[in-house]
Order: sequence, then C-alpha cells, then structure tokens
Amino acid sequence: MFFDRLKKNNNASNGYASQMNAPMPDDTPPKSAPNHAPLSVAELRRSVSPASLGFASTAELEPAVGLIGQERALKAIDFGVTMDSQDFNIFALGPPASGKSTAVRSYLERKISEPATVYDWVYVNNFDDSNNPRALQLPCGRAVIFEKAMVDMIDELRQTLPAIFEDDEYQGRRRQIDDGFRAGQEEALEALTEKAREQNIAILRTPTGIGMAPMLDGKVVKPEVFAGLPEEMRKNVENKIEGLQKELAAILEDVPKSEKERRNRLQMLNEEVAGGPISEALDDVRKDHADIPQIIEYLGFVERDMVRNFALFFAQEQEEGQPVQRSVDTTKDPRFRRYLVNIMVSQESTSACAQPIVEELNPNYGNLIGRIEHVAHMGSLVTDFLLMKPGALHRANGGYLLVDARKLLLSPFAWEALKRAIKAQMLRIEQPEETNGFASTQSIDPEAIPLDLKVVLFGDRQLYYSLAAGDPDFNRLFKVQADFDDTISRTEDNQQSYARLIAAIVKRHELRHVDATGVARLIDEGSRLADDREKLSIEVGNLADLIREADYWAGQMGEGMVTNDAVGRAIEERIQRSDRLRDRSQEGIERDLVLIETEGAKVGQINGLSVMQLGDFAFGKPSRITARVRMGKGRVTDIEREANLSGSLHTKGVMILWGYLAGKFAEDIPLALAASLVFEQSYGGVDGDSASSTELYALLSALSDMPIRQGLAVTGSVNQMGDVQVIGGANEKIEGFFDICKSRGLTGDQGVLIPQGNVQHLMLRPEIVTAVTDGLFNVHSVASIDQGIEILTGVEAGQKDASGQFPQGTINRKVEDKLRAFAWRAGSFASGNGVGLV
Amino acid sequence: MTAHVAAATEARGRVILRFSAWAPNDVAIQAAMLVANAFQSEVEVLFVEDSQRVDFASFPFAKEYPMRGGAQRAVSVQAVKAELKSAFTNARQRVAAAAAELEVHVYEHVVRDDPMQALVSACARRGPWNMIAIAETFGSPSTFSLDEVFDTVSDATGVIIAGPDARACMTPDRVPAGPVVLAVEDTIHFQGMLRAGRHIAAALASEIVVLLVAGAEQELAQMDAEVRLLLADESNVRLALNGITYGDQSAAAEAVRRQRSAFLIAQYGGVIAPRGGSLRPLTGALPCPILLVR
Repeated sequence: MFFDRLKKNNNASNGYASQMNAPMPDDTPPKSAPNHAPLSVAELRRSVSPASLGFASTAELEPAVGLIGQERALKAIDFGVTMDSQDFNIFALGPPASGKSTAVRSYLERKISEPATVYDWVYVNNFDDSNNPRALQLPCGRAVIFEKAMVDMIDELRQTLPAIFEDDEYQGRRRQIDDGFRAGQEEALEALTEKAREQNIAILRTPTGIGMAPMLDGKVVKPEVFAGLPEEMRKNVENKIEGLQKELAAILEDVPKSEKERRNRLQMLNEEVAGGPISEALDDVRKDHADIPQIIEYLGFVERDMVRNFALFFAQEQEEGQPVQRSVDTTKDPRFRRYLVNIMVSQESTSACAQPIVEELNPNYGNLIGRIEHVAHMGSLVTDFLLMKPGALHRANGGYLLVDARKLLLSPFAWEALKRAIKAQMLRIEQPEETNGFASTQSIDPEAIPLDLKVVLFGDRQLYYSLAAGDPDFNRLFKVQADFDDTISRTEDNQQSYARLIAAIVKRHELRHVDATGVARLIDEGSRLADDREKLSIEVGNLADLIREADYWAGQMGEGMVTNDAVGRAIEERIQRSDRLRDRSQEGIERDLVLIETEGAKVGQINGLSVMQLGDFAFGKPSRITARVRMGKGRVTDIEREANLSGSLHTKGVMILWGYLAGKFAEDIPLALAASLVFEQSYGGVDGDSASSTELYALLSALSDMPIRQGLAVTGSVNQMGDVQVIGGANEKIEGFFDICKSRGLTGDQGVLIPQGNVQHLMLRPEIVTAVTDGLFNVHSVASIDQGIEILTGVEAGQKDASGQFPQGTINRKVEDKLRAFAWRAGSFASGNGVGLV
Repeated sequence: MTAHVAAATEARGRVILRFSAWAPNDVAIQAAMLVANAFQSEVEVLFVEDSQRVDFASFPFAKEYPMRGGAQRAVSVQAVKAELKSAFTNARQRVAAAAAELEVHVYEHVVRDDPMQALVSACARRGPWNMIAIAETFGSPSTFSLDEVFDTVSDATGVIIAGPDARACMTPDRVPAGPVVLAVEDTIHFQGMLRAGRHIAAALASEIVVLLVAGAEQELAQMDAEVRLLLADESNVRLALNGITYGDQSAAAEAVRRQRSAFLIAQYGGVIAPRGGSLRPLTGALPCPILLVR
C-alpha cells in the first residue's frame, strides 16, 4: 500500500521518479578520492627537549613542597580545617594515588604547630554505680601523673593500714567493744544459770542454742528417774523451767540488738582508725592535683569508699589448699581495681601538647569508637571500666581524624557510629550489639566524652557522589569536598613544577638524582599517563613508582643518575611484566588463529580497534568487523546485541548508524535494508560506541561494493550527521595495530584512522614515531565519515549537487543506488509477488 | 611439773584431743597435732556424746532457745544424735587433714559419757604423760571449766586451748607465725616449760622467747638473774627485756600479745591463767594456741 501511494505521487519533476520503477545500477567507474595527508610526526608525540628545561639534573632543583596543580583541593582543605564548625568535615575525592592523604597530612602538620588546647581523658570507677564509669578531663600530659599518684597512694596504704589495725591501741579498743558485748550477755546468762541452779535446774549450752533440764547433784536427771517422780513434783519442775525459760527468752531477745550495736560500734571504730591514714594518703594526691576540680571531687568519693572498704587493704585469708594470693603489683591486684585509673588519651608530657593527627588504617567499629572488653570469670563474661579501650576518635579528639572512606563503609556499623558521634559531638563507647538492639550480656555504660575534631575522609569520586546521593547525613556532616584533580595543563611553567615534583620524590625516597633527559622522559610519560599531550598526570603515586623503578634500573645499569634510558627501561619492564595476555592475543593473530588482514582490500570487512584494560595495564587489539546487507525491512542487526554480547552503549552506536543511513540515503524512500554487523571471533562482549564509525564504514563498503583497505584499522564514534567523534584509548589502539603490522612486516601502506579530536591525545611510543618518520606507518585523522571512507576505499565519497544527487561513481551514489534498488524490489514483493520480507 | 607427752614408743601417754558437739577450732586441732609431732607422740581423738545432752533431749518439755534470739524449737533425741553424728563426721575430716600434714598417727574413740569423765577415763587408760587438747574454741560456752579439768584429770600434764581469735601456728609450707613464748611466773615451772618449749620450737622451726611475769620489781630482777643463768648455753632462746611486773591478768596478756607468738606456754593457776578466774582476757587477746601446764 505504501508503494501504491508512491506510485500515485510519482511526478516527472522528481529526478528519481523514473528510477523507482526500475533503478539501474551505477556502472560508472569509481571516482578517485582526493589525497588525505596523514598526521605529521610532530603530531604523534609531544616531547620536551632536555636542554630546554634549564637544568642538568634534579640536584639543582628545589624540591616541590606539597602537591602541584591542586590549588582547588588545597584551598578547600584550608577552608574545611579553618572553619570552626563540627559539620564542616572534609571529603577528599580523587583518583587513587593522587596524593590526597599525603597532601592533607602535610597541610595539617604545618597547621598543628599553632597553639591549641588538648586534653587528656581518663575513666575512673563510679562508686555509686559501677556500671557507669566516670570520665575525667585532665590538662594535657597529666593523666599519667594522676594514674601513678593513685597507684603510689594505694601502695602506701597497703603498708600503713594493716600496721595501724594491728596496733595495740586499735586492738585494745576493739577488744573493749567485743568484751563489752559478750560480757553483758554472759553476765545475764550466768546470773540466770545461778538462779536456775538454786532451783535445781541445769542450763545447758548447745551449739545451736540453750536448753533447760532438771538437775540433781550437778547432773541432769535421767529421764526415767524423772518419769518416776510424783506428778506434782514433775509439774513443779516444769513450772520452774517454764518460768526460767521466759527469763531466758527475754535475755536472748536483746541479742540481735546488741549484736547490731556491737557491729555499728566496730564499724565506727574502723572508720575512725582507717580514716586518718586514708585521708592523709589522699591529701598528697589532692595537693598535686589541686588545680583539677574533677579530680578533687573524685578523690572525695575515693576516700569515702576506701574508709568503708578498708578491709581490702589487709592480706586475703588464705583458702584451704589454695596458693597464697597476695599480689605484689597493685595494678594487678583485683582488690584495688576500683581505685585505678584507665587512661584513654594522654600526651607524653605536659610540654608535648600538640593537636593530634590520627590516621586510622583499619576503621572498624571498635577501632573507631573504642571497645569494652570482657573476661571470662566462672562461666560468665564480666567487665569493668578498666577493660575499656580507646578508639581512634579518642586519640584524635581535639585534632584531626583521617580515614579511608571505602574501608569505613565496608566495616559493619562503623559509618553509622562515626556519624552519630559527629552529630552528637559526644563520644560514647557502646557495644555494637547494644546499639543495634541485640541482646547482650550486662555491660557497662561509660560516661560520654565531648568530641571536638575534624574528620577527613578519602575516596574516589564515584564513592563521593554515591554517598552524596544516597545518604542525607553525609551532605549535612561533610560539607567540604576537596576535589583532587588528576592532571594539570602541560605549560612551560607546569613542566618546571613537574620537574620540582620529581625532585621532591627523589628526595623523599632517597633516590638517585634524575638528569635532564630523564626528567624530560618523565614529563613526556606524564602526558602519556594523562592520555593527553596537553596534560600532565599528577597522580603522584604512579609517578613516584615509575621514578623508583627507574632508579632501580639505573642501579642495574651501573649509572649514577637516572637517565632517559633508565626511565625507558622502567617503562618497558613494567609493560613486560603486565603484557602476557597482550602477547597471547598478538600470537593468536600472528598464527591466524584470529583472522586479521593487514594487506589487500575487502568489501564489507574492516579492522576495528578496542582496548583491553587489565588492572593498570591497557593494550589495543584489532578486531575484524564485517557487514552483510540485503533487502529487508530497514533493520540493522547488531549480532553482538542479539547474542547478548554487547552493552547499551554499543547498541546506541549501532542505532545511530541506522539514523545516519536513513537520514542520508532514505529521506524519501523506505529503508528496505536488512544489514548485519558483527565483531568476528569476539566472544567476550563489547560495549562503547568507539567502533560505530568502523561499523558504518563496513556497511557503506557492503552497500557500495567498494572494498576497504585491510592495511588500515579504524576507531571513532559517529553521530547521525556523519561526524566522527572522540574516543578513548587512542594511543593503545594505534600501538596495538602497529604491533600486528610490525610483526608481519611494515609495508608503508598500513596505518590507523582516528577521530580528529583525538590528535591532541596522541603520545605514541617513540618506535611508532620513528616508523612514521621512515614512511613505514601512518596515522590519519578524520572528521567525517565521508573523509574516512575516502581514505579507506580510495574512492570519492561524493556530495549532493544542486539537484540533490550524489555524483556517479562516488561511494554515496553507489550506496544510494543500492538502497533504492532494495526499496523498489521490496515494493514489488509487497504488491503481490509473494515471498515475505524479513 | 614438767609439761610432757610420752612418745609413741613409750606407750605412757598421748595427746588427747577431745571433741564435743561444738564446732571444732582448726587452730586447736593443729596445735594438738603440733605438740604430738614435737614430742613424737600420738593423738587419741575422743568423740564425746554428752550424755546430759541426750538426756535433756529425752524430756517431753525439752526446748531449745537460739543464741541469737528467735522462736524456741523442740528438741528430740534423734535430732541430737544426728547433730552429734554430723559434727563428728566433720571433725574426722579435719583431724585427718591436720594429721596428714604433720604426719601424726591418730586413734579414734566415740564415747557417750559425761565430757569430763570421758577425759578422765581416756587419760587413765594410757597415762600419766598425757596432754589434753580441747577441740572447740575456748571461750565459747562449753560445758566444762579448766579448774574442773585440772582438778579432775590427774593423768595429764597440761591442757591445750585456742581462743576465738587464734591463728594457725604456721602456714602450710611450715613458716611459723612467730616465736614460742614462755610466760614464766616462777623458776620452778621454768625448766619444764623450757623443755616443752624446745620441743615445740623445734617442730615449728622458730625461736623461743621467755617473758618473765612477776608481781614486783625485786621479784622480777631475781627471776631474771636465775633464768639468765639457766639460759646461758641456749642459742635459740631470747629473754624478752622488760618483763611484766604487774599482777594484772589483762596487762600480762597484753604483754604476751605483743610478742606476736605462734604458741604460748603458760602456767595454770598463775597471774596469766588464774585458777577460778576467767581466761577471756587471755584467749581474747592472743592470736595463738595456748598450752597451760600444771
């Protein structure tokens, strides 16, 4: 029906109208394409001349202090550190090895030289509730002094208290109390006994009490004798006994009261006797810490408890069969644990009170917040304030805490705990199972400590943005992002700064100095690492590693300095350590296990290029891409996609091809094309659109029947307008194809097509530059598909003339003709000639 | 009179360790074993079921009032017997442990008799060189008096007691708690006490301290001279300076206490342990077992 409509509208004014009925193939010989010059040697690699650097070696240079090119990040750090607010913590984001940690630490170390107030923190027993240990804040450096003072005080009392209680005076006073108690009771009982004796009643003492029985001649009457007495006599005896028992009961009723009175008097005596030496011992501690009110208050509680529990200071009774349990070391004697001091944070001395900079390398929950340990005792787990251990937040309190964000997030409960502490500005040691509502053994709940610190997290950009998007607390608490760049512009000044950075690395790692040739090579390599001739990589870690390796090879080569050769060797050796798979891949091509042609020309077949990233090593690999075309319903089949071997970006690229074809060649005709594209012998999956131009060339070749030079490889993405767009990994791709061509023998006709926009990224291996110089290899830049197809086929692409036609003999004409032929045939099938279209 | 216990080979006496229903005092038990060991003698353990207690329990109106106050309770013969049985079982264990520690041979007898009569009989069986040891804490309301013991039992040379504050003479690893103190009130008893002191000090591996107790300065001086003559060749004996001249029992007891003795040998019927008087000042003051000699 569609084609019927077309027939009705078929007017002679349309130049193609006559063709719709029977399109004729274009038999005109192909028109030769204009010459497209390849890139010049200078465009393939940017090298700095050693002589232009103005020094002979890094020995002449002042090493750079800190990082270079990170003004944005350093300014942010300065702001974050200076901003006196607990929610302006810092997240330092950037690629790994960009020197974030070093830069931050270096900055902070310069900053902490300024005077600051830091405190020592200790935990002590809470005598009113041992489950809630008290925190004491002490001036810097005083915790150790206080702890020692308490131990010394206890040692003194261990000597003096027992002696005082063995003293004659105490013993005499104690006996007086005991005797008074016993005497009172004994006298009453003796009087009753005498009275009973007068009545011939015996008072018998038993282990469990007192009884009464009839007596005769000083002995208890035998029961059978008593039973033989007249009833009246027996009754009389029983009445006497009953009367005496009442008196006895009255005497014994007072016993508990008397006993209590005795205990009270003894207690008062003990406290009076113990109080003096205890107070005297504590006065020494008070005198040394009179300027710390919290300690003075605490010592008041200590004194009260010690007086009450003075018996602790006497040697323990030795249990039967047990070894003598008398500890010499006060700190190990369980009796005195309640009086000891648990130091959580202390400075070495009162004069070493700098703000702490703490880097926690293993930021799990316990290491951050602290932990409460338990010991097993008679089948259960017990703890006390001495078993509390500080965490990084304790040590960093008053200063700065540096943490790797990824490690923090990977540790269960740690991130939440850190946020909680920052938000509350309080540090409380809790068991994670308590915090999260799980059942637990009874533990302690120590007093919280005020928290005053800045936290600096380190992480990559992806992590930062994930946190910013997914965690509302993050944005509230980490308001400062210090964004570390990975490159700087390669200007003359920055090249000089780079040289000084190299000097700093040499100095820090105590390496051989690098001469000007070595520095020049390192600068060039910096651009290669940046993948951009106009940039220098400032991932300091990577640069430092390369310099260290070059230093090693310089040593191996017996050189006193690191030269260009040593740097080159380091680069080669590094590649050689990593390129086993590249070698296997290349071997597969060389042995024709993987089919790649580097000579001749084929229709619908082209060499594409991809990058394999294995760890920190990347290499380019050519792949054969083929296209087949036939009449169809206007569908370009991406075989990779159909086989679920491609990602969405690749699919997008293929769809763009369809848009280009339709837009350029089928504005007024149906696109009755069925095409299939495939990466031959590719089984591992492809993604990205960097091969979309390559695929398009293959399609155009198949449609135009014009062969493509197999000595060329192509990379570049394409848009619907036919513009060739920038891709990544240009250097690796060119080098990958070069290596294949080189292994087969360079012919001079071989080369690579790259997008024009990628020329600025080129930092090819010197070997390739040499090959190009010698005319054995070429690199072309293309801006459009037309330009590219001309280079690949040697045939003019063709532009539409005033009548809207592509000139005959051009690629575009041939393509258009083919598509029109497909459209006509499709129409004739649709009008009733049977076979369904696919 | 000499405070002496016959050696096992002499078969003329033993240390008679008497148990009743009262809780035994481990210091008294250890002291008995120590003395037996010192004299190379044996110990005869006497478990006495006080017949008077059993008789008391037989009365239908028998009641017992707790010492600490509280409701009275009925008493039965079965309960008394069970209590005695339990007490003796406990005592046996303690005796066995103490005997093993000092390697002393022990004989056991269970008798139902008047406590004093049981002692008389036991001492007469082996006599005359026995020494009596009272297993329960002296000063607790026990059913006898020392006067009665010394008056009634003729085949014993002394009585060993331990007060409520008594501590062991020595540690398990044989470290003595202090010296053996002889509280000498006249030179007649001195030689006998010194001989006994030598035995016990040797067993304890400690020294002997002689403390002189007199009623007047002159008496003290005279005793001092005599004792020094007698001690001329004794290397392990020390004469405590400034002997006590008071006739007061408490002061004398205090003077003894200051010596921090592991074992005290004193004369019964003197100032320190007066006849007919209370021994509470002595037993309350001294943290060691006491051997009272005739």
